[in-house]
Amino acid sequence: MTRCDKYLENLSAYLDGEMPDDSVKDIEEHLRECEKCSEELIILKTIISAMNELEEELPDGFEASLHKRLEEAAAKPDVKSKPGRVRLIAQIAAGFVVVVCLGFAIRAGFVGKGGNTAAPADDMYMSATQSIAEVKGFGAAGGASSAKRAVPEASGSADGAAYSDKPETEYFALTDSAVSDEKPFDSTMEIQKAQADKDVMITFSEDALSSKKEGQDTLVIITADDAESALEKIIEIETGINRNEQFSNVADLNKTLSAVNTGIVSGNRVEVKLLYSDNETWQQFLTEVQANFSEVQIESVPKSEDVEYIRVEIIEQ
Amino acid sequence: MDSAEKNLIELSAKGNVEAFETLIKTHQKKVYNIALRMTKDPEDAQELAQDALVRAFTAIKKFRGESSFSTWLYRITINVCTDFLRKRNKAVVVSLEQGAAGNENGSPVQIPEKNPGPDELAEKNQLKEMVKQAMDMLSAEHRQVLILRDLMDLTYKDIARTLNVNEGTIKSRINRARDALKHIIVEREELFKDYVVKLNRKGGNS
Repeated sequence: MTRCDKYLENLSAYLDGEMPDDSVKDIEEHLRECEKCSEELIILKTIISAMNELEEELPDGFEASLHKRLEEAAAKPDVKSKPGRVRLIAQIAAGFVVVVCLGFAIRAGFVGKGGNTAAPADDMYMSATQSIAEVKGFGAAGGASSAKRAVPEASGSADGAAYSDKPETEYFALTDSAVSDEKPFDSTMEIQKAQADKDVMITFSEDALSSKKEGQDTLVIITADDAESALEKIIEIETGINRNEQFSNVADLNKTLSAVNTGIVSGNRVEVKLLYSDNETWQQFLTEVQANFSEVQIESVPKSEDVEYIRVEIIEQ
Repeated sequence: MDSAEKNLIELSAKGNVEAFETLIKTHQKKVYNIALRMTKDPEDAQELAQDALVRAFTAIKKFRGESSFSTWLYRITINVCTDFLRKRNKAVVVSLEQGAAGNENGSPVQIPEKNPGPDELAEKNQLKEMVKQAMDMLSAEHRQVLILRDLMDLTYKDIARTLNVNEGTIKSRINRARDALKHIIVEREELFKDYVVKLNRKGGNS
């Protein structure tokens, strides 16, 4: 390596103003003395100045066609036009799909109508998938009251056999496209909308609420301004009330929390499903949730599938 | 980030197309030029630049302001273009790589002849054309850093961030890329030498 090689190696960075001050002095001193290196500098300068001017104008119609595509992208979530409550439901559906795709903290527990027997794992999973389809369909139907009319054929039965004719394929189709499609997935858009609202929504599905009305679901949505602390609080509540290891939700909640912490879930929107073995623990949980979050709404919503829903909305302000 | 830009980002995050269009007003041409230099095809470039801008629009809620908005946008553009190039006929990419490598080994690289113009402007345009063609012969990796440095005017730090490699790597990569570019041009272009001589006489090296 000659003395010049060292300088030649740094000429580019020197021209870009990316050399430390003391090196700059050294290079400039050398350039004054060395013809070869200063010629090299001129060549580089010439090329760079030509490169600087390579920028070309936007093609005709670029902005117009971009505008069209942006409008399409903005319209895609199709949640803006709906009233607040329905919009929220649409977001929940979308959020849940993504949670499922990421593959963490999904746990669905459905206890038979009598509240005494837990469904087998497969059925539990299937019922979870159905609930998604249900929520999705519900949101799309345009609201709580219209949803009831839109799906009059839904029965109140919660038995295992009724699960088989539910639109689980719709759910899987959604999952597939979310995973494999490189184009932004519609649901992602919806989630981003939710993120913009800086809300946290946590939904719970529970089938064992004997106190709820016939043909009605109850859906729980917690809305808070910080996913992490909301989750921590829920873990705290859960740890305090659910002593039945078989039905403990803590492990799943912790997984969700770490997913939030590590940024696997970006934004402040998280959904988890919790399992309760009996109505008593569920009611306890609900009481604690109401005591710990500033605003809680619990509503009965029309039943649209055979999986029953509990919906709670909590907003921290 | 100034408050106007911040405001536009917030509005864009809420789905406001007009706000986003204002936000990208000064960047979209650069986005297009990144795509154009990377793909070398105006039609592909338009499509990819718009893909990148739409992607930025739908993902803007994830923009946390850790880098400048433009750096973030260029990174999306580079990613979109890189994905595209990877998928596109690999043979094309390979032959280009060979072209650049071949040049480094001293084998001839064909640069189409242009009639030298009588005046300086024509010479300058010709030089630009030469540089552009030489750029197209570089490897994708070299082209990428030079686009970011010499067309986008990013600092080494921002280029490192955009490409997710360390600054030292960027420094040597830019150096090698310019060296490769220079070899393509200088070794066979009399015009270029003339131009440099002229520059020299005028004291263009000051």
